[in-house]
Amino acid sequence: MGINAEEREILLDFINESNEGLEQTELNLLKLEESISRGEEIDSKTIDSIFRVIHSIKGSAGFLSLNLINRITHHAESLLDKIRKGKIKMRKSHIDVFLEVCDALQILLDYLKTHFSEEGFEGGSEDLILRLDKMASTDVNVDKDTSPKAESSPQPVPEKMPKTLDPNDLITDELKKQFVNESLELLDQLEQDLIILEKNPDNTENLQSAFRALHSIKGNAGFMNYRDINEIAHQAETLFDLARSDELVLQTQQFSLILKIVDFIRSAIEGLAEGKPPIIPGKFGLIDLLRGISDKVKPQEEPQQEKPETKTAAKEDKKKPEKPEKPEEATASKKSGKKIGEVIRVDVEKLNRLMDLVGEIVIAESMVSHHPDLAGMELEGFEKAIAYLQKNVRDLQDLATSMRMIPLSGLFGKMKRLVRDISMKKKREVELVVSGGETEVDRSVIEHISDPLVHILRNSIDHGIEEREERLKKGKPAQGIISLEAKRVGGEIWITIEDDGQGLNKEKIIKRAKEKGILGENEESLNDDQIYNLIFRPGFSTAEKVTNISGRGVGMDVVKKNVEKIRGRIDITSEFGKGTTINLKIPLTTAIVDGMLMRVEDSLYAIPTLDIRESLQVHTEQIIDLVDGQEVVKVREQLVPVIRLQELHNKMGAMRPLEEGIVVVTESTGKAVGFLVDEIVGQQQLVIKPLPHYIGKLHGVSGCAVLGNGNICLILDLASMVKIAESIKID
Amino acid sequence: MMTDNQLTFEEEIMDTQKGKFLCFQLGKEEYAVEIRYVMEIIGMQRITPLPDLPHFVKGVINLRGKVIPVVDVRLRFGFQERAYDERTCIVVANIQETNVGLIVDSVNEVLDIPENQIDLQPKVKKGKESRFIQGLGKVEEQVKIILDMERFLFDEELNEIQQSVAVEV
Repeated sequence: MGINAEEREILLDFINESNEGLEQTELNLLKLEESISRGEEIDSKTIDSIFRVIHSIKGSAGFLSLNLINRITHHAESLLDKIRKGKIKMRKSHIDVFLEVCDALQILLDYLKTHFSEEGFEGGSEDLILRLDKMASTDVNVDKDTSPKAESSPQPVPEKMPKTLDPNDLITDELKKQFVNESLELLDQLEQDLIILEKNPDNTENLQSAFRALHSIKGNAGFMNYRDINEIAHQAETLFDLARSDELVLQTQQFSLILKIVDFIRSAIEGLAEGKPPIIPGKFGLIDLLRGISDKVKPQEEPQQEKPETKTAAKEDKKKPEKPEKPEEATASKKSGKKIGEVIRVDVEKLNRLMDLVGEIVIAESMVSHHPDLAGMELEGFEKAIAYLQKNVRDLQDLATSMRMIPLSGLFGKMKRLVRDISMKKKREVELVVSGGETEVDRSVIEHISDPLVHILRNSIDHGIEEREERLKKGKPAQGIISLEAKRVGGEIWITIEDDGQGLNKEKIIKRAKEKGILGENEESLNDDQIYNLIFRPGFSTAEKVTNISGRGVGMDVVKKNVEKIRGRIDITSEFGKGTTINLKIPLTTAIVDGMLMRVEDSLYAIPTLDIRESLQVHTEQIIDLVDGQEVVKVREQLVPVIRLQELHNKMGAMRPLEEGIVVVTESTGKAVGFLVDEIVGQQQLVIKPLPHYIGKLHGVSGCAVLGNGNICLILDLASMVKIAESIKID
Repeated sequence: MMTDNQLTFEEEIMDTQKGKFLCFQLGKEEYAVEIRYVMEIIGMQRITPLPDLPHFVKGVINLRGKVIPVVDVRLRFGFQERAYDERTCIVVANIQETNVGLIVDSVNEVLDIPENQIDLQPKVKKGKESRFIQGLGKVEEQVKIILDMERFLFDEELNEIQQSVAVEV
């Protein structure tokens, strides 16, 4: 098996995709067969979707030098094409032969799964190919063996003709959606490859992969009749073809151009998703620019389907002996080996519904296990059964949560692109070192941390990393390094962004904070943490001159808000002159939280267990009453303000002395706040529900949860509680 | 096919619902809301109070796992608060895709009020709360006060309160 991990990965993807396609095709064929036997008109859309599958298998097989698959699909495609164009009327015998094609391909794919090559495959396909050819060359009007019913309705054929000719009729919304999704994935892939290639232009694998992505986009756009995308992708493909055949070495400048083109294509495709036509403004200019690059090498060259394929094969052969099996690759291939044929695509909507249902089951379970009717009963067997149920419910919940998990690598990849672009613009040399991209987080988490990450990285380059000369003067390497690291710690993901730039300037921050009125003139005694946290305050921006990338005033405060929206935390440390580190600590999932339930009079509140530091009964000597009536308790030399939750509701009534209740001390964003509660009810898994839209946002409450007994508890928003407590002065 | 059927089904419902009103009691007066807003009627539930809400929003209830806000209609109209009893009901209404529970003294009946029996510009005292009234419906000798649900639930007053809360934060 002289094949490396990457090639294996590509092959496996191909197998998975093809299998999916073939399955669909089989269903479609059966559908057609039914229409034929009933003498109904044949649905041209179905034929088209079969055609598309066969075509894409053919393309990929060609690229992967899978000659047998390529040949079979090629011949099947020719026959299909004639049917599609109405030159041959579809008969039952066609269905049979196409089903045979599917079977043959399936067998071949199975063989590939274990052998990773067509070599040594024993199975006659020549007969099948021959029959396909024979059918394709048969005259249009040899129609005699169709069922009599079909003969009685000859109209469908001419009726179908104009339909097939107008490609716009064939493009269903479903197809469009598929195209958009696929293309966006391909563009992501392409971007990744380009960035790697830019650093290392000799990386043939990425060159191949970039070429393949462009080729697929081009092909799909062509099929969908999106001419702008098709033409530009075609031109870019030409460029890569030249690069592949070593006739052209791409320069940084040209990468920028290609990346820009990727952006154009992306925005056209995104526009398409919103129902706009996929037009690329300035198309001809772009094409000319691309042509300019390729023309430098040699006159215009049309990339031919077959030619690149043979080249690819040759190249890959060359590469193989150079690559000794690294241990890393060995494990990678082991992993992917397990994945074979076990991937299915599921609608996100379905996953969300599954999550909701699991949430309901968690509630139902606790409804049963905490049912008031059971109170005081000795139920040993029942308890055992409940314990078993609880374990399974917990497992189910973990599983469902994990299904919504996606690795961070995609997001991190985008950040690479971003850092590249910004550092070019700012003329700083920056390398982004990424690790932990395989860490998986909930989909919704990815959505929420994308913007904060962009902002933090922008800030790092804009304010952190110095210019080359300055760095050299300071004795730092010319190239700045930003590391982006993710790891899983308990129920959280920690994302660390660290740069080796100039660090935060405390004096500057204080000065700025005072200018902006964030900090009072006379406030001096802040510790480092408090100073750094000033940059998260609204209205703060340290850029001395406003640049077009960062420093627009919407800054770190938005970052913080976004992170807190998913119950995450952010902290920042810095050493002046050496660099800055920002830590994001984000819960794995946003839907379920482990919470501590507390009762205050007849209301129930919950606080995420992770945020609770301790709970204690206070003694009189620990209590300090401040002038404005705010109570503070002293816990091991730390002064902790205590909030009475009744006050949230503006309920007056008799104030119980602090000593009679329990103070739960929480810590969020480094600040301690205590809550006076009557009773700690217990720890529970809570399914977080947003407050009804009608009510809007409340301060102090981030959401609610329905408990097993049907009661509703309010989940406290510690960040805003801290703010309430902050308004309390501690002297 | 499915969507086709559903559409016609919904249209059918719209059609049969037209002109039908749910009547409820508030003190001595009888009020009515268009039936298309009404999802269901439930008895009094345990209400979880929430901080920082206008006084007429009493809190939230748990309706089969869904958390929905409840509005005391009396308080919204500026009437005197009244202790809830066994006849007190919560009318669960759905408007602008939001579920809201309305606390009323009691629910009476569902009535047909033909369009020509509805006076859209009734001469009522121009009070602050009269803006919640869509019109007066005449049924035999009785008059039903028809609620303007949109205004009743989403009037600017609520927005103002929300904004003031937001500013405070």
